[in-house]
Parts: sequence; structure tokens; C-alpha cells
Amino acid sequence: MTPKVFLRQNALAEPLFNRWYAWPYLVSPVTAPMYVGNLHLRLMESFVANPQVHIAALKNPEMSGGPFLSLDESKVPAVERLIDKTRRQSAPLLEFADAVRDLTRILMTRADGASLHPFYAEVPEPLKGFVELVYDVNNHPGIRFLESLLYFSPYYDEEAQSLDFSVVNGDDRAFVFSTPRLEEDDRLHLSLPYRAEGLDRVFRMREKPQPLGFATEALGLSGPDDGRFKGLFTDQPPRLAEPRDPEGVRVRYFGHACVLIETRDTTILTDPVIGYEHGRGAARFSFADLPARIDYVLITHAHQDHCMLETLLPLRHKVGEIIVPRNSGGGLADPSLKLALQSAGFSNVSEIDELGRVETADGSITSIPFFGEHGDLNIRSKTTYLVRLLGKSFLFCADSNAVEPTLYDHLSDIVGDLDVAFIGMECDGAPMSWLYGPVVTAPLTRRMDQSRRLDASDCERGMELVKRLRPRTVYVYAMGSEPWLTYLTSIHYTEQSRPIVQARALVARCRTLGICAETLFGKKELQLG
Amino acid sequence: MTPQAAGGDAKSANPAFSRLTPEEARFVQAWNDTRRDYPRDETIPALFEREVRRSPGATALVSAEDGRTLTYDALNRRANQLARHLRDLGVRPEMRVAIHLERSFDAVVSMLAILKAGGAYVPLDPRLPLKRASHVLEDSGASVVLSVEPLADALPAVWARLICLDSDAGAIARQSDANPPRAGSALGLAHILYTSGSTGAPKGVAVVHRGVVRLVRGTDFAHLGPDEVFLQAAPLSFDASTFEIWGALLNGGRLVILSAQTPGLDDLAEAIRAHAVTTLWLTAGLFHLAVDQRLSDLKPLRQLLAGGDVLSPPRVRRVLEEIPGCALVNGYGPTESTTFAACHVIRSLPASAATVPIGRPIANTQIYLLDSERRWVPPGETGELYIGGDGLARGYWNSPERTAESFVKSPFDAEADARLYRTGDLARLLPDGNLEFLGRADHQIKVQGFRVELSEIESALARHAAVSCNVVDARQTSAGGQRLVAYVVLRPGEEASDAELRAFLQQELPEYMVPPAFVRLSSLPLTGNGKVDRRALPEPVGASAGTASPPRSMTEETIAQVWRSVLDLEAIDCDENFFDLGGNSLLLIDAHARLQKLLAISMPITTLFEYPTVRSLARSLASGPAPDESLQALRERVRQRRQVCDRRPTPEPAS
Repeated sequence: MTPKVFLRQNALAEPLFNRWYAWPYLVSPVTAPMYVGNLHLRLMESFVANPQVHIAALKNPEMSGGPFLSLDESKVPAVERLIDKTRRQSAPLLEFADAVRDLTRILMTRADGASLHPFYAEVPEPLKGFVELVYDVNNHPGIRFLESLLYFSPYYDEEAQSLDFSVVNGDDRAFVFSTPRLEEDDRLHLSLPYRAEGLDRVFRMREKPQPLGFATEALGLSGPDDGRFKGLFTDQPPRLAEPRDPEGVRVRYFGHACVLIETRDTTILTDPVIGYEHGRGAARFSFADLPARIDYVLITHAHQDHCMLETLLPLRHKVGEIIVPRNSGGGLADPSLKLALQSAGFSNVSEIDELGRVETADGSITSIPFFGEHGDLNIRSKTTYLVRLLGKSFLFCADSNAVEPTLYDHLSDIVGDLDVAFIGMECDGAPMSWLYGPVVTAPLTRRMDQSRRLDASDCERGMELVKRLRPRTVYVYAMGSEPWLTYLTSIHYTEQSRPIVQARALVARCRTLGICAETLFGKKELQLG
Repeated sequence: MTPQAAGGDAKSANPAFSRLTPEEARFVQAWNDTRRDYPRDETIPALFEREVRRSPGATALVSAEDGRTLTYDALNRRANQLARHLRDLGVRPEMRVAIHLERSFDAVVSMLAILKAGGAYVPLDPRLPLKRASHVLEDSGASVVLSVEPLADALPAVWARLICLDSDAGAIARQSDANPPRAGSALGLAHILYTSGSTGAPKGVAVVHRGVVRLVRGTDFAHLGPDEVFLQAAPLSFDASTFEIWGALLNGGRLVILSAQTPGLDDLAEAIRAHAVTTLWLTAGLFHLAVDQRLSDLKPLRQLLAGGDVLSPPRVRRVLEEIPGCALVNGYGPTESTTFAACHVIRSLPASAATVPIGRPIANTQIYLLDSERRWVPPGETGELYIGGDGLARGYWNSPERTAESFVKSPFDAEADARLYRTGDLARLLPDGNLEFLGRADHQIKVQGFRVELSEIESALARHAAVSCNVVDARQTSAGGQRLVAYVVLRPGEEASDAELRAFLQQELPEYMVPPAFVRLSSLPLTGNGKVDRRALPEPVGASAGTASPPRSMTEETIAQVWRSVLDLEAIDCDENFFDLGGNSLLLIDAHARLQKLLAISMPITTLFEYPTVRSLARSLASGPAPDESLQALRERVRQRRQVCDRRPTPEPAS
């Protein structure tokens, strides 16, 4: 009998796009070309021209997470090869990005409020038939992209999608968003689209063993294995999850904004980011702590650390429904999460509107408006969630910034009695260009950029929310402070870091108001009712 | 340079000389034999460090505004610290570092430091429109930008590493102030200067160390040495600053830095007087103004270099007559040949002369007047001016096609890689061996000394929604300069005021490229073969400015009279802004000087920026102590600017 093996708990499959760490904006055919043309190639070309500047910059911890490749000089030829390959492979995407720039320029300088019809003749070839030219109500011209149609165009390029398999043996993974994954000996790189069904078969092997040949066949591998594939598997079964009290609501904090809520009839996971279990570092919940089925995955917004493909793909086989905020549609900065996740193989994605509600077996999920954290761009695909299960209520605020406290006056009746508020307080966000620079088509001064930060609430703002919604318990979360998250956040907090200071202040102020409060870190479990 | 023999037997004869007699060929070869000893294999910082060793205590920099000074040794130490900091940031030979600073000690320290680190500086004028600044940063690929906090906010949000000399002063001051290891080479990149490009975007001229060294060492057009005091008044993005800065600092001279954004004639005069300036560069327009308005202020000078555009003979004669002790030099040259290619030390100018010659090739530089087949034209005939020699830039940054078009293989030099730069300028050789400049072969012109491609302005204007077609031309002004006029045909049913068109162009182009005058036409005049007939374009009549609000007092009338005169307008609306009426900084300097004379008052030029309409200016002058208040305001601004621009790195307090 062929021995059966499990996929290792700490096996990692990094989804890549042109060998850059993938996130929803690299999936959408509206945004991916902008990132390839305006970010990836520029960063790589800058590295090839000035490797020393990149190396020197990253010696300064303040610069980590900045626009510098974390590679040494010996990698210049490999980066040059990747530039060549990207230019060839993604030629249509680069033409698309150029066309967007040209059309924007035409409209911004010449559309003056009169009919836009004459401009269709000037739409650059790559965009013809994929864009509608529109004014907003202030007569500012703009481009509406037919995003769903673009998924059927050459600008949606599954050939650029791939997965990089390896085993995680520590929490020291390098920051992934500024450096491409070059070929490395211990990694197994497979050209597969994210939607490949074989991935589900392999990821199921975390819990259900199969012969190794089952996995090779699932991924369509041929030829001899040099050990790298086999190394992803083990004959060790996963540890058994602790049995759960079937009554009441159990809440488990997995780190960052990832929280699992379970009742007898419903399981919900917010913003899935799961730390790998490798026997070292801080205690954590991991894949083995997840239930066999997750009824709802709730995504609060499209940022890389909240809608993370790396975690979502391995869970795909056990997720009932993914709920995502609806986007504004057609814009360059706000692609559809639904379309991106559907193209990545999720069959049951539903969009939720502000104050929209989904009934579950023993409660409901309601979308509550989310302001801020998006550089004041008109990005609608962001929401917080009010989860009510068995009469207990939880508000997951993610990175929303209570910049307009009056909003919560309006919401307090709708939210009603609130047991737990999870408030994100990463209040030292990056300048807007860090994330959105590639899709911002007008030049930006440093002053604009520095003032439009991607930041969540500080203590004052957080208290505005607390005072109006009066939760019984406040948890500060989504700080990116777990040691296994530095590859996503590049954050290394000290006790003096502003978010830590602000979180401490908020916890103290809540306590003076008689509200239980705590800053979450690592893992946490609570049982209600 | 090994010039080939021109004479001899037919076989070895160079066809490039075929239109010359053997005698003429020998003449032009001797004329071009400008070889002179100079440290051609040295770099700029190596020569500077030599001056530091020679006279460490000598004054290198002086602030014109407040008299602060920096010795060669102190300047060197500050530059060394910054250079080491830049090395630590990864700056290496050929790497570009942008300087987003005003004229200041910091700017000179930065240039030296970048070169010492082996890199090349790219001046980025803090007043450039955002789009253009983004273009310069992107095109140059600058990996580091040097600025100061108050200016840095206006930088484009790009990914270059930003170093603020004020807020990062602590880290810089912790570096050793000893000379860093030598980096760079004579043929290494020293700086990139961006000039107007005919295809609609500015182009970067990549200048090498040797070009600069050949400009300021072993020179024959001016005396450069430790006893000279230079004034640094040219914009850093303009190649005259190359001459001012390195002419002083590579010869042990003293550099007086005028940091006022738009120095008026008063500021120039005060700097010359207070700091005993001996050597001054003035662009043609400013030269003409200074001669007309304040000639006596130039008397202390030993050397006055003027150029960048055509000089007016009557003014040249006035200088020769009234300041006989001052050597007057007409300097000619494109950035592609590192500031100067030919110079004419004007000893006299015959009454009959209609132009001021541009002289002969300067040391280690060759000039050729060639026909379309690249043969020397006979003396006296018009040819296109080509430049060879050690001043040639490497080419246009990031633009091999454009480089190949303008930098061509030399038929006069046996060395395989010898090149000539094709200027597009027309000239002829006069019987006395001097060159006479005869204009352009294309539509490039000079405005305030800056090169401007008319087609770059035209393509910017064409992007305005209301503009159907347009042509931009340069017209002679009464002052002898050139003034841009945009001839615009609007789309049917469209309207666009001058102010609107001007505001539109200001978002895309630097100030000097925005035409002061707009003329509406129903169609563009065409030649028989369908090209725009520039000669048939009407002269702009100066009546376009409104008269809604005519002058109401004597002061207003006087101011309006000056404005009408400098702006070439027949009537002025007293509530219109000087700049909206077509004013620019050079015209403002003119107006300032004339107003002071006519009104018999003294006021800083900044008053005109504060009160830009006839009415507001008149009111400010009438309200008693207004000039004093303005003076106060000026002092305050100078104080602020000093803090901004010249904040010395303060050492961290010892703990």
C-alpha cells in the first residue's frame, strides 16, 4: 500500500504575479498593468542602476518597507533577466498602462465640459472598447473601465500567475512587497493559475492524508522530484484541535485582524491571515485550529494584510461564502474584490453594501461604513462588520479611522447593544503613494502625499467611536505587531512607537469609563454566553 | 586632438576642406589649434581639494545678503561630511543626485559632496511646475534628492531617497570631515542640466568633469585666479552657474552667493559694491538692462562676461567707453559644450558693426562652420556651427537617438571616437578671424538666456481644450531682446482668455517659456507649400490689455507708464497683475529700476511681488512708511531664507 502523507502545517505557497507577491490589485486587469509598469519595472530598474542605494537604504531600519529591493549586488543579473522577461511577458499590460496615462492626459487637458463623444476617436488602441468616457457631476472627465470585460482581455494574464512553494521555519520572512521572488534553490516554483483546482486537493492534505502521487498529479507535476516537492509533506498527522464547548460563542484571535467566531451552527473568519506553526516563536493559533468548514469569510478591505491570497487560497476548499465590500465600480484605484476573488477560484463571493445584511443560521452580519485609511481616494470597497450571533454582538472595525465622529451618532441605534468592539489602531500609516502611487495619474507633491496617509484611528478618534457606541469590551487589534507578520507589514514596534502609545492610552481611557479593554497580541480566546 | 593635414597631395586631402583654398585651410586649422595645458585628467573635486591644500584659510563662499563666509577648509569639511553620508547611502560614480535647493551655501556644499562621492548632480529648480519636476526626476533616474524641509514639501512624491540638509544635519555631522577616497574620473558624469526639448519634453545634457575643467582651467577668455571674486547669481539649472561656481572654486577664487530669488539691479549693485566682485556673468537681457539703468554700478568690475543671447552693439560700446578698465567678454556656447565654446574679448567695436562678434574657440575647443555635406564653408560664407574638443558633453541623458543626431563623428580628427556637436546655430568667419553669430537654423530661441524650443511651447498649448491650432514665435522687443508671442486659433465657439491660457501653460512650463503675449487669429497664415508662414504673422499690437480701470492718480499714472513701456502695451488696467499682463522676472527688474528712478524712491524689488497691480503698488507707496514696512518684510524674508537655505549642520550636543 502506498504510504499516505500530510501537507506540512508550515508549508507555504506564495501566490506570485510576474514573481512579485500577489495581492488583489495584481489580480485585477485594471490595476495589475499599472503596478507592473509603474512599480515593479521601475523598482527593478532602479536596483539594477543603483544597487548600492538599495542596499544602503535597507541598512536603515526606518527604510524597511520602502521602495528598495532587498537583494545583494550579486542578484543584479537575475533582476535584469526578470526585467527582460516581464517586458516580454507583460508587453500588453505595459501598453495598457501607457494608454491609461495618455488617455488621462488627453482628457485632463482637453475635456472641458462639452460632449466626450469626439474623444472616443482618440482613445488609444489598447483601451478601445474597454472604457467609457464620463464626467463626474463637477464636470471632471474620467475613465470608466469595464472591469468584468477586461477579465476576458489580454490584460488579464494568468500566465503571469504562479506559486512559490516552500516550508516556513521561522518568523523572519523578509518583507514581500518591495522585492520580487527570484529563483532560489530551496523553493519550488510552479506556473499555475490561482484558480487551479488541484491546489484545493493539495491543501486538503493538511488534514486528510493522501499518497504523494495524488499531490503530484493534482498539480500536474511531471519529471523527477529533486526533493523539494516531497519536502512539503510529512507522515506526521496534525495535532488535534482542542474540543470546543458547543454552547455560546467562542472567539479566537489569530493575530492582526484575523478573528474566528464560532457557534454550534456558524463559523466566521475575518480578514484571514494565519501564522505558520513551526515550533518556534510566540504562541499562535494556526491552520490546525481552524474548523473543518468556515461558513463565512469576511473581508474588510482590499489592503494586502486584510485580503491576503496566501491565506485565502489554502482555505478555499473549506470556505462557504466570502463576503466582500462592493466597490465603486469602474475606477482605477478601486478594483472589484468580487471579480478578483472569483478569478482566483472562489465560487461563492458576495458583495455587501453599506448597511447591507446577511442572515446566518443563528444571527446576522451587517456592513457598517468605514472611513479613512485609503488616502482620501474614492474607494468604496471597504467596510466594517457587525456580527450578531446568539444575541452577542461584535464590531470589527479593521483600519477604519473615526475621522468623522458624527457618523457614529447616526450609527449608534443601528449598531444597538454592543458586546465587543475590535478597533484597529495602526495610526502611523504609510504615505498614500506607497500603496496607490502606481494608480494615481496626476503628479503628487510630497506635501500631499505625506498628509494623505493610510492610517487608522489614534486614541482620540478611537474614543469618539467608543463614546458613541458604548461597547462593553474593547479590543485593540490589527496592529500588525505579531512577530510572524513582518513580511507583510515591515513593522518593528517599540514601546515608544506611536501606535503602541496610542493603543495604551485608549485602553487606559476605556478602563476609566468602566469598559473592559485590552490590546491583543499573538493569540487570545474568549467565550461568551 | 590630432588635426589631419589639409594640404598635401590629393589622396590624403580631407574632403571636409575641399571648399577651402590650402591657405584658408591652414588658417582655420591654426585658428582651431587651441591646445593649452590644463589638468585634463583631473576631476572637479580633486582640483578643488588642491585649492584647499594651497590656501585652506582663504574665503571660498560669501553670502551676499548677510556677509557670512566659509573658508576653503570649512567648505571642504562640510562637503566631505555630506559626501561620506552620500557614500553610505550608496552613491557611486555615474549615479545621479538631484539638488532641490535655492542658490545657497548648501547648494555649493551639495554639488561638491555629490562629486566627491563620485556621483553627478542634477539641479532641480524649486520653482519648476510639478509635472516638469517629476519628468526631470524620472528621466534622470536620480536615486537621492537633497533638499531642505521647507522646500521638500513641494517635491514630487517620487521614490528617490530624500535627504534634508536641515533635519538630517545631525547624521551628516557625525561623519568624518576628512577627504573621502577619490571617486569618479575625468570622463565621468559630473552633472545633468535640463533644457527645452523640441519634442515636447525637456532633455538632459550629460556633462563630464573634463568639460567643466576645460572651461575654468587653462582658459584664455578671462583671468581666473585666487584674486578674483565671482558673483553667483545665475539659476543653478542654467549652465552659467557652472562657470560662476567652478570658475571661482577651482582657481582659489571667492564666490559671492546672491540667494535672492529674483535679484534686482539694486541687489546686483549692492553685491558688487559690498563684496568687491571682480568677475560677473550677465545674460544678455540683464546686461542690457544694467547698462541702460545702472551702468555706474558695474564700474568696480574687472571682467564682465555677457551672452546667452545676442548682445546689442550700442550697449557694448557704452561699456567700452564708460568702463574702460573692465574687460568685456561676449560668451557663446551651448550646454552641450559645457557653457562656453567661443568667446570674444571685446576691445573695440567699430561704429559700423551691426553685431557683436562671438570671437574664437576658447582653449581646448574647436569650432567648424560647415555646409550640409559637412565641409568647411569658405570664410565669409554662412555655415552651421559645429563644436569639437574637450568641452563636449557625453550626450543627451537617456536618449541615444537624439545624441546620435546631434553628436556626430568628426571628419577632422583621426581619433575614431572624436565627435562634433551640431549646434543648429548659423555663423560666418569675419576677416579678422572672429565669428559672427547669424541666428538659428531652426526654431530654437533664447529667452532670458534660456534656450527655448518653440515647438515645445506649441505642443503644450495644443493640449488646451479651446485651442484648435497655434504657432509660437519670437519677436524682437524694443529693448533688443526677444519676446514670445503665441498665435492662437480657437476652436469654433470656444473662448479662452489670455490669463486662462497663461495659467494653463504655467502648469506645464517654466516661467520663461510662457508667452507674455497672445494673439487670436481666425486661421494661421500658410506659405505656398502649406507650412506656417512665420513672416506673415502680425506683430502683436499692444492694445490687448483692458482699460477697465485707468490710472486715477499721478503715482498710478507713473507706474502705469513704466508698465506700458516694459510690457509693450498701449493701455493698462490698474487692477491687473503684472505677471498676467505678460510680465516676467527680467521685465520686473526693468520696471523696478525705472520706477525707482522716476519716483525718486528706493524700494526692494520684492515690493513689486507683494503689490503686483498698479493700484496696489501706488497705494503701498502712498501709505507713508510702506517702503520701510516692505524693507522690514524683506529683512524678515532674508532671515527666514537664511534659516531655510543655509542652515549649517549643527553638531549634536555632546551628551
